[in-house]
Amino acid sequence: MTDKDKIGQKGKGGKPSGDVEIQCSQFEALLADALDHADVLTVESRTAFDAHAGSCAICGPMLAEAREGLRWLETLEEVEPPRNLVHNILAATSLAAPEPGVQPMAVHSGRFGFRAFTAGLLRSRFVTSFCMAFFSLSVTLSVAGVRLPDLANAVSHPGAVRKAFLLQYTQVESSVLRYYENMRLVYEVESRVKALRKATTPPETNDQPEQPKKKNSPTNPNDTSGSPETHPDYSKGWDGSVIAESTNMKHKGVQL
Amino acid sequence: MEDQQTGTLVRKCLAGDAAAWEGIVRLHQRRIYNLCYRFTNSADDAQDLTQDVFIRVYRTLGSYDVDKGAFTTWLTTLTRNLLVDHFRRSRQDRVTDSIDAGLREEEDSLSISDRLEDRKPSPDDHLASKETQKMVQGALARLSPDLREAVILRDIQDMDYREIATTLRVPEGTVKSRINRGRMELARLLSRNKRQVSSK
Repeated sequence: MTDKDKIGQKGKGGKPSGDVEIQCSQFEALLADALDHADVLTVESRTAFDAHAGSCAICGPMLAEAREGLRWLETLEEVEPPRNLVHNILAATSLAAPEPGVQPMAVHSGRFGFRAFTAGLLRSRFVTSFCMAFFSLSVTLSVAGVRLPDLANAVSHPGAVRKAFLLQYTQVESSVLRYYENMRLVYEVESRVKALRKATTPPETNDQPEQPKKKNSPTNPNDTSGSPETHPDYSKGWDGSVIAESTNMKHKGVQL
Repeated sequence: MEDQQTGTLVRKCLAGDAAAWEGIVRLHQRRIYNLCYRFTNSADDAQDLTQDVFIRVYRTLGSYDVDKGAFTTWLTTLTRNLLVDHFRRSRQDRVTDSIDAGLREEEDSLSISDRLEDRKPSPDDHLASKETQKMVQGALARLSPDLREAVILRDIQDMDYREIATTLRVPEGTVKSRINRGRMELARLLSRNKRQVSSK
């Protein structure tokens, strides 16, 4: 039998009172309340509790340790969360899908679901794609001559769509016809002017002087200078003096 | 007061008010982050887990019955479940002393008279010390998960026994017992740590 049990036998059991010592098990049950909510204990319970803590070799240190642990824990200050935590949570939850079997919040209202939907759409890649698509569409419509107010009217009055289409078609058709009519008129005027000019211009005569024909002189194919080909006499100097002369008379074919 | 405010926000949120959801997040994110941080002892894990908690809340808020119980308790229960899951996933990386092993070790090393004579300086001397907070947080992380969560919910989150019992799904007596043992174990770990530091 332990000391703890022996001490426990001293009490009569049941609820602690001022004139009865409490057991260790009762002490332990009161320990948390004694530390956390001292006002919860009655005066009698508190007296019995303190008396047991002072007399019991187990429960006394237990109380001291629990009190000390509590004081250590009270030194812990609240930690500051990261600044972007709320933003991250909202961003994460805006894209979160509901778990299967659980009715999501979005079902309760279109507004909440719409926010989640738009939050997904507002991601940068989607925004870029939408902008590009809108730009392309607006350019195409403006080139085709469609104006946004016309579209709005057409949407509000569906019967006017056919009418607007026919009107647009007629306008385009008349523009094309007018263009070709104008082109035909221009060609007719141009052909008339040519005929008139031909009629008023006198016939050409052949008394123009002939250009002198080029001599078919043999030319050096390597000569691209265009200057007349000469045969330089390397045996004479610039002043006509003879620099070199062949002594062999057999070479009469060579003229100095 | 806070529960009433949260209840109103939850009703608005379920009715489709998007701003109410942001209100809920802003109202509870600090408490949930602190709970996660004290349990995991890691700022990164705490941030990830806080996000996971609110994603889970967002997905399952439709199943929450406003009239059944306090939103704070429901939210804490959900957080605790995620923390337990996280602990199980990372159990292999953790070195956790069980309370029984600690008790045995302590009983072997110190006699009752030694423990009675062991008068340590008051924790009040270290209140403002960041180093002390780090030390306490480290000791808290070494508690077994059962004791740790009970102590955190009571002494840091300031929940009452009934709420803790609902959150942990254990009787109130067990809650009190775990709180007592957690506090004692923490004091022992810190005193042991202090002795090791002073002996070097």
